[in-house]
Amino acid sequence: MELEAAVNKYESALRTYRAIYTFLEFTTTFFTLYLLFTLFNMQDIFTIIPFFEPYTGTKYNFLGSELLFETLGILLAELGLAAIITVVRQLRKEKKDAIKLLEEKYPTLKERLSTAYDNRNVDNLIVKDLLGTVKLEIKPLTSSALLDRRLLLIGIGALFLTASTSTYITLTDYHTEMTPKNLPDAMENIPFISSNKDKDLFSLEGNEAGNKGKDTSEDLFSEPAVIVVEGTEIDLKIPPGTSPGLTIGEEGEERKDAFGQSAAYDPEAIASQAYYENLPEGYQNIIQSYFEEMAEAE
Amino acid sequence: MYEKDSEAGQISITYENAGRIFNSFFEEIGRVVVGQRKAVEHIVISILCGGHVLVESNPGLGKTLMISTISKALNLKFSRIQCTPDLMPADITGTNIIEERESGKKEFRFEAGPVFSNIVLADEINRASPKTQSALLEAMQEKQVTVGNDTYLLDKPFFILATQNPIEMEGTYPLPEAQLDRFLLKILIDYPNFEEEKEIINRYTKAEAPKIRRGIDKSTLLELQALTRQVPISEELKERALKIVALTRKDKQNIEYGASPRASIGLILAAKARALIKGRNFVSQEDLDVMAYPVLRHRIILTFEAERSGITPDEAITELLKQVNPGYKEEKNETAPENQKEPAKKKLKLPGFRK
Repeated sequence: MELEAAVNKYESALRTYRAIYTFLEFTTTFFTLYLLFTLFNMQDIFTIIPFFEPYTGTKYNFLGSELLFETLGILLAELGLAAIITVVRQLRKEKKDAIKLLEEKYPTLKERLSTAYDNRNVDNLIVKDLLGTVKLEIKPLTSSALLDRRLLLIGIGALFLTASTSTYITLTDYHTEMTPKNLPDAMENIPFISSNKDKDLFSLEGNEAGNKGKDTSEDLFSEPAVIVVEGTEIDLKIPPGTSPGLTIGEEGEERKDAFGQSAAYDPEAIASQAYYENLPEGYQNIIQSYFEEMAEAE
Repeated sequence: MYEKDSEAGQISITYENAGRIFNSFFEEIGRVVVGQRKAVEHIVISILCGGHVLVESNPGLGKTLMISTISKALNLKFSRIQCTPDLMPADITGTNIIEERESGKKEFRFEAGPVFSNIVLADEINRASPKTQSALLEAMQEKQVTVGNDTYLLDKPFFILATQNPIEMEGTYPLPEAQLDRFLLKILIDYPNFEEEKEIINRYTKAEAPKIRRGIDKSTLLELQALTRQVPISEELKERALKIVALTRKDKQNIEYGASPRASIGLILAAKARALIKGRNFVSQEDLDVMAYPVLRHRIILTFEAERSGITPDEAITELLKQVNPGYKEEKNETAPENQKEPAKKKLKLPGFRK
C-alpha cells in the first residue's frame, strides 16, 4: 500500500506539472499568434468578410475599457486557434505515466518499479524483497523528480520572449504594411492562380523584353500582331491562305469516280424501339413554345 | 534477507542464493562441458520450469554428454533411452510381467520402464517409431504412465531431455507438431570455437576424463522450481509476451502456423527462470527476448515462400521481436548458432518413415 500511495503522489504531481506545461504552451502560442496577427494587421480581415463588415467599428465595453469589434474578434480568434493548436499538440504527445518516467530517470529502478507496482498485492518471498528494496529506493525521491526542468525553462523563456515582444509592438503600435486587404492584389500576382493567367502566359516573352502595355493578343488573322523577342520585332500575322480554312485560288484535283448504283432501299417502315407516346412531364410546354418561337422568327 | 519464511511456504532459498547456486552449478558443468554455457543455461531453465527440452545439433557436439552431465550434477535418478526404430512403448513405460510367488501363485507385477526416473534422456528421439514417441506424450504432459488399466504417477521432478540430429534424415520419424509443442524449449547447439575445441582436446585426451561432483539435490531443485514461479513479472512484459506469441499467428508472410497458448505460458515461465538464474527478483524485457527463440522456434511452421527464400525460424522470430520493439537488436550469442541457420529447409513436416 505504501508503494501505491507513493505512486499516486507522483501521478498527482505529474498531472500538476503537465497542467503547467500545457498552460505555458497555450499562452506562448497565444502570444505568438497575437504577434503575427498584429504585425500583419489581421483585424482588417473583418472588413473584407461581408458577414462581419456591418459590425466593424462597433465598440464594446470590456472590463471598463472600450474594445473595437475587430480587436475583440481577433483576440477571440487567437484564443481559439491557440487552444486548438495546444490540444492537437497535447494529443500527439506520448504521455508516459509516473512509473515510466521514474524508471527512465533512475535506471536502477528500470523494470523493477513497474514490476513491484503491478505485483504489490502478491504475497511471496521474492515480491516482498522486491517491494522492500523498491520502497527504500523511491523514499528519497520527491515529486519534483518528475519535473522536467528543461521543458519548464524553455516554456518560461518562450513565454517571456513572446509576451515581451507582444507588449512592445502593442505599446509602439508597430505593424507591417501588409494587411488582408492586400490579399486579392497579391493573389493577382501569383502565376497560375491570378484571374488573367491566360494573358500572363501569352505575353510572357514580350513582357520580359520590355514590351509592357502593348497588346500582343490581337486576332492573328486581322490586325498586325507583333511581339518583341530579344529586341527583334516579329510579326505574328498569318497571311491569307496559310490558315487551315478554305484555300482560294487553288484548284482541287478532279475526281472522276465511276457512278455506282446504290443498293435498293427497302421502303418498309421500321418502327422505332424507343418511342414514347407521352412526353416527359413539364416538357410539352417547353417544346411547344420552342416551335412557336421558331415559327414567329421565320 | 529472507533465509526462512514460514508464512510464504517452506522455501528457504532466496533469489540471491539461487543466483549463487546456479553460478557454482554452471561452473561445475563447465568442468566437463566446454563452452555451451547458453545451452546449459537453457536446459536448466527448462528444468526449473518443469518442462522438457529438445536438443538439436550435428553429431559429435556433445549434446548427450551435456545432458548426462547435467543429470549427474543434479543428483537425480537418471535413465537413458537410446531410441531405435524397433523400440516399443513397453520398453519405455514398462510392462506387466507374470511372477510366481513362493506359494506357487502366479500374478502380474509391473516392471517399471526407464521413464520412471527424474531425468530421462531420450537419445535420437526421431529414430523411435511414432507409436513409441507417442508413448512419451502422456508422460511428458500428464507426468503419469498408463499401462493396461493401471495409471502410475511419475516421480517429481520429471524431465525428458530429448536429442535429435538435423541431418541423417534416413530412417527417422519426424516428431509430430503435437509432440513438439510438449517440449518447452528447443535448443540448438553450435560448433565450439577454436579455443573451446582446443580445451576439449586437452581435457579428453588425458588418461582421466573430467568428473563432476553432485551439485543440486532433489529437495533444493523442487524449492528452486517453486521459487521460479514466484518471480514477479510486470503487466507490460506479460502483454509483450502475449503480443510476441500472437504475432506468430498474424505474420502470414513468414509463418504459416503460429504458436499455441502453451507457448505464452512457456515464454513467461522461461523468462522467470532466466531471471532467477541471473539472480534477479524480477523479469526483464531481455529475459523475454532471449527466451523467445528457444520457446518459439519449434512451435512455428514457416510458409513455403519463407522457406524457399532461406528464412529460418529464428530470423522469423527476430522479425516478430522487431515488430514488438522497433529498437530491438538481435544478440548473436543468445540466438541460433550460425551453423544452425538452415533448419527451415530441414524442417520435418512429412509424417512417416523416410527411406
